Amino acid sequence: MNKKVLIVDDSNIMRDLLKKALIRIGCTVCGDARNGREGIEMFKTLQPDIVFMDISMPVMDGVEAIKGLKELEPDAVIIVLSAVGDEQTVESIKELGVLAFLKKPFNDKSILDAISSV
Amino acid sequence: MEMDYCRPFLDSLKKMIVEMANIKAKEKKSFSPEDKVLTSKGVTSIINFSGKVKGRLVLDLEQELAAAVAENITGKVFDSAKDNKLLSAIAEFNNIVAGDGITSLNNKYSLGLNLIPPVVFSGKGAVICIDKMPSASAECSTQYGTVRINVAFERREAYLWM
Repeated sequence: MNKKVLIVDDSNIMRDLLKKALIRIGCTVCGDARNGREGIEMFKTLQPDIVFMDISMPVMDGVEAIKGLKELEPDAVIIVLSAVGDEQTVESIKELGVLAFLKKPFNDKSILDAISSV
Repeated sequence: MEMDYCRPFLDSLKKMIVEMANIKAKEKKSFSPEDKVLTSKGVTSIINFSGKVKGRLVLDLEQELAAAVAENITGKVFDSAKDNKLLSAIAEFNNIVAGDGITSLNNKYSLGLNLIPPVVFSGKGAVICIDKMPSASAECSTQYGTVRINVAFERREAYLWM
């Protein structure tokens, strides 16, 4: 499972926890961004295999960032990690072309299940 | 104050404190309308949400409990309740509790609620200075101390359709 992953989340705790979980399952974390705008900039230079994207963030939220990434690279592989996971939210985010939607808190298995289809 | 809107947050708090921090919380005081100014028990996190209604969740933890929650989430030991990592862990804990609560409310009542990133501070006895909205508080006890949960909701006065 040696995938290059970019993490986009405003919570430093969440970035740390996700980084550790990804390393445990054999991924390489190539970068971590604190908001959608930083995430798009890092995506351009790092060219990750997968982006883990939070939704509620300052400066630029996850929805705008997903749209921006898809404009840059329509085949970008994005997995959303969000605290809010109601049916309407999940549906509207799936329509943006993301690979998977995971509700926080996550565990190694849910992360592994999501990326095993990449 | 819509009391039906409060319960999901208490259920989420009890669920998430076990799932994320392996701490059991028992309901000590049920929800009742809050008419006093809130003062912090030690570490306090505030998160706002908006949609068809607007609201707010305050989680207010005694210091020992805040440290235990943060330690179990991060795997680090904290000497001070002012440690940035401890505060970040409590903010994220509140984010996840609020997210789980509004997930239930959105599924049940189609409120279209979204979270606004949380704020957090430490300071026992500090006055929690927040917008005045009708609110209700409940309290849970754990082996490390108590946590107060305060939920506020207010109907929007107007929508602008543009």
